[in-house]
Amino acid sequence: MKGASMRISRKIKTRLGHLVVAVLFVAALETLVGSGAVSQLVMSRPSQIWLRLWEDLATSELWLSLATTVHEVSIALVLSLLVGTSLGYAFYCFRTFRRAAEPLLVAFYSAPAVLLYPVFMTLLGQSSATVITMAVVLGSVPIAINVAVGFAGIEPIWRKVGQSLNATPRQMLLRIMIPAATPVIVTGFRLGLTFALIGVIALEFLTYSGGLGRLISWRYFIFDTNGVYSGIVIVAVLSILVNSLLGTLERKVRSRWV
Amino acid sequence: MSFSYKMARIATLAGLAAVFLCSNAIAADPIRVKVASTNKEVFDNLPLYVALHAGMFKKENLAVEITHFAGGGEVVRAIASGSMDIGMVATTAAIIAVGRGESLRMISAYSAPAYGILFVVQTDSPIKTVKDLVGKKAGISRPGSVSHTGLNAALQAHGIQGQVEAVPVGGSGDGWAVLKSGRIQATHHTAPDVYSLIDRGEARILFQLSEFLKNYQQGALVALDGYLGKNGETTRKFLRAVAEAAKFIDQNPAEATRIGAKGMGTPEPAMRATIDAMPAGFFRIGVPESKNFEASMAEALGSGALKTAPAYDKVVDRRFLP
Amino acid sequence: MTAKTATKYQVLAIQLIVGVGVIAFLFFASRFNSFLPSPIAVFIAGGDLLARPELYWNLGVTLYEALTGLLIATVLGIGVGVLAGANRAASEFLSPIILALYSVPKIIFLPVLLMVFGVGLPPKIANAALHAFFPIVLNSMVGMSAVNRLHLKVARSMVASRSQIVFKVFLPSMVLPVFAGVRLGLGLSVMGALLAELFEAQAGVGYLVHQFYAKGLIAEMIVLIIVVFVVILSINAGMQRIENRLNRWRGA
Repeated sequence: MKGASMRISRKIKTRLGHLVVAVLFVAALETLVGSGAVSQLVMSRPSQIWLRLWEDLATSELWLSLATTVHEVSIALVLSLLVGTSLGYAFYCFRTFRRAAEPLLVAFYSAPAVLLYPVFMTLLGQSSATVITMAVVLGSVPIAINVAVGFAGIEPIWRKVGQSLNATPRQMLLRIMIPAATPVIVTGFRLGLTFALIGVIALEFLTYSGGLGRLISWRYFIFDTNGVYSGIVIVAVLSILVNSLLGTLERKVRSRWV
Repeated sequence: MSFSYKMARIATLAGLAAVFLCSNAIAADPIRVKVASTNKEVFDNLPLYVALHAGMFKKENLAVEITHFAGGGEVVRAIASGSMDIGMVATTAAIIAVGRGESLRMISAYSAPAYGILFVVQTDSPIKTVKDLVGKKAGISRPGSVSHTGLNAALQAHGIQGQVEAVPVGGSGDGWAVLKSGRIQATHHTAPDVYSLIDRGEARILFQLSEFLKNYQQGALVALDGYLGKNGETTRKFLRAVAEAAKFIDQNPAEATRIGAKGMGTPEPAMRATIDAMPAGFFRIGVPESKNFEASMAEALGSGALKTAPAYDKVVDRRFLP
Repeated sequence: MTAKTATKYQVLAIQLIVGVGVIAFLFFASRFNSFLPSPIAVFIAGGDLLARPELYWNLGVTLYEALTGLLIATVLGIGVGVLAGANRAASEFLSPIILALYSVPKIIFLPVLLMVFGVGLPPKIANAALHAFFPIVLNSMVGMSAVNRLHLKVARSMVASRSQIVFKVFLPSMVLPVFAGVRLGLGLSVMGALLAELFEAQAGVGYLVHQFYAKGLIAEMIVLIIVVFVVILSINAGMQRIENRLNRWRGA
């Protein structure tokens, strides 16, 4: 009984802590921009962003943009997970392949990942296809790397335990390796999915093709700072939703296999 | 000569030397001015570089630092947040910023009418004149930009406005990439950069904005009210120097070419060609003309960037013009 | 030939195959779309660019921005990661905050960075650090919390001192994930520096790339991208050596 109440009070403490941080942050922004210390062309007052957010949610413009973005993000997320996990598992199984590909991927993540958008744009046009392709490229790499590292980092003792229990390869994978590797792999998922989401927004912004990214780009162009941050809040909420979905999925996997 | 006479001579010389040294010391501290401008390769940067390298700024005892930002938006932001002193921006960007409540002021016209912006097609394109654009798509940078206004002016002059779709593509590099994807058939571009494509036989100029957009002020110089209040004299000197530089470009195109090519990273032939084709009096420090101003206002309102436009007197501050 | 050199050749072979694949892709794509240059055009442009000092000077600027940013991000990332992963309370408190910050498109921070750090090198370094920070901190947190409970119990039962526990239990288990984070951070720090240069710059690879792109000199642009790619590969190889050493010390 004591343990349960201790856990609850810690949960409350954490939530309270978050609330305090959020309030302080909002208050700081409000004062900085309100006093003129920070230009209203660079940052908005949270109170204005809040008002603008509700105004936006009443417009069809926002919902149409959101629909395009959600459509592109969903496809990009699923593909990133598929490509990333398969690649990561291949990396794990064929160590030489991983040693060969990993440096290439890390180097790719620097210049090429961003600067190659004209290549995709000229081949696929200013369209969802370009946006999704680049987002998948960006999102699958951290997943692949962390999946490989997650499996590789498992203590040899677990493998020995599996062997001594005469576990089949399938049992080894499902009952020993996946649970042990889950934390690192899930971190990889978080990174990858966030990259894919940001990739979609960034490409929509750069190629002015549609969705929330394009909306934010237009508002940025006409110095509508309130509008820019209203859009960003919506993106952030989307990201939090995706991450919490991932959290629920992680708990389900854990409870089923551990 | 007598001892006292010698002393008097020495004293006079010493006194003169002291005055000379002191006045040099007082005059020796040049005033620092931080200038914000758009991309380095944009032709409108030329007077700033000429003023910097042909001594106009030095003559006014100004130490000018030019920082290049990715677009007019960034220049306006830098000025508005006080990190830069004077900016060179598209007129419409300045008007929109004032319309949003910024205490930005337009201290001078800078370049007019529209020049340096043009529309290109692929060399082997079946589009030979503006009329051939009917039913096709043309790339503009953003709705309400000068490329958009210029396209509309060209279409209107040929009576085909409404029959050509304007597609926002971003910069000239992006426009060319999208054109090659086949999604659009013409796109905006800028001189002198466009000569790089023309010289390689890849592109052909369809029309120049300057052919159709006459009452238009392209670039303007802006500064914050607060800065102007404290640095009025410096601002006057700055405008004087840039006005000199503008005259210099007209009178010494060869030297201007050399300075521009080196400073802005453009090959000399392309720079020379751009200078030669310049409309007379393109670079001019002076009062922004109200009819030009109205054109930019129409742009700001038409694209939806602003709901109500600020008055001329709210935007323009003529006090520092030479 | 030892097993080690055998795999080394295999690795090189695979990388060569990937390289050939990319060239082949460019070859076919360039026939289909004339915006893209043929591999030969890229080769010629490369020869020209590599002979001029302009490329190296700008590359130096960008690398300086990126590596300084990476250093800052590594120190901050490991620091925050260790604090956050140290106990469950800290982890539960800090992770949502870090993830929330992470989920905002970092491109938005650029005007803020320009305002706070001014123009020139500082905002580029700051942006590089900002981009590299997140994979490092997230992986450090995971590394801290995934410490083998058994090892910890054994150490505690042997009444090991605090520093012994840190060095013999925590650090070894953190090496792999932290290094994976830093390696990802390396590429990202360069990306951060490049993105900042696209916003405001008069020097650096980002600035050069924009100049080439605006002029339609795509072969030159691709050469620049390849050069950055190769440089990162080399730095990464150096980091790999350090990681292998740490792994041996870890006893894996």
